[in-house]
Amino acid sequence: MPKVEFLYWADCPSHERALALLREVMTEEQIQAPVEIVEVKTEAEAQQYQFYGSPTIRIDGADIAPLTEYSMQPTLTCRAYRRADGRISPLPPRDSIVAAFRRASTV
Amino acid sequence: MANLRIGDTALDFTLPATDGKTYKLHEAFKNSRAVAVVFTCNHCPYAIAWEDRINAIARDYAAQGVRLFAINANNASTHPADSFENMAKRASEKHFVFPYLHDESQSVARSYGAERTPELFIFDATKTLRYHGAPDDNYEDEHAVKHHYAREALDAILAEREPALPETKPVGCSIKWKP
Repeated sequence: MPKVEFLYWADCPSHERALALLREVMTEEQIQAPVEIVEVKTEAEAQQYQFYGSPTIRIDGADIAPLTEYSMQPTLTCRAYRRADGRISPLPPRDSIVAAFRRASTV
Repeated sequence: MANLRIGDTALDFTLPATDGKTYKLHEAFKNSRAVAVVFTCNHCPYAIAWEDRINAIARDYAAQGVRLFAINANNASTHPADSFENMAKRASEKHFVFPYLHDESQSVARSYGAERTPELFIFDATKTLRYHGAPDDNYEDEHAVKHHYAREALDAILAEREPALPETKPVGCSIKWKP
């Protein structure tokens, strides 16, 4: 069973949709594991959790997506994800979440 | 919540832009049928997701007498991507057709009560606020937009009608205030 972590900062509006997306993918991939939800509230916590922006998803400790030039240091901020078509989005790409679970299952 | 309410008068400002010029809001009203003021920034994924659409609005409505100003008020000390130098790079790379203004003191953002990036304030020719809120209803996918709030507001203003939806909730990152 993979360890699934979902870290968010409440100030960024996309976290609810991102968490719903994560749960959808887990259902589709038939992954039954608890999601550890962590609300990051302070800069100190952002440093402590190595939080590069909201939302952040980790599977077995590994981030589901590479950092972009907009999210290069741990801080309280909204995270920018790069989609397959190159565009920036506040939501983690579904394909990245799927790929992360499949990588974890093969380790 | 914004300090300006629908029906309020635009608050004037004088700010430097990445094109090397200084812009005074009141001068924009001399030959405009509407003026849009957009608080935005470089680093925020919502602002980035919407910036091409905002650029398109400025381009598409320019011939109809609409001026658009973008203002970045973020604290560049905590968010270096929002420095004036990086603003100039972004404006050049993205071929912004509007002035990209730097509100380094954050006084304009504070006076407007802006909270998010992006957040739009659209005024008619009499400097009256007619729309406040988000550019449209879908930051993620421009092809899935159902309500083009800003465009619909501009169309109404240009037709001398009341915008059907004068206010929507701004969606985006919080403005990064200085301590």
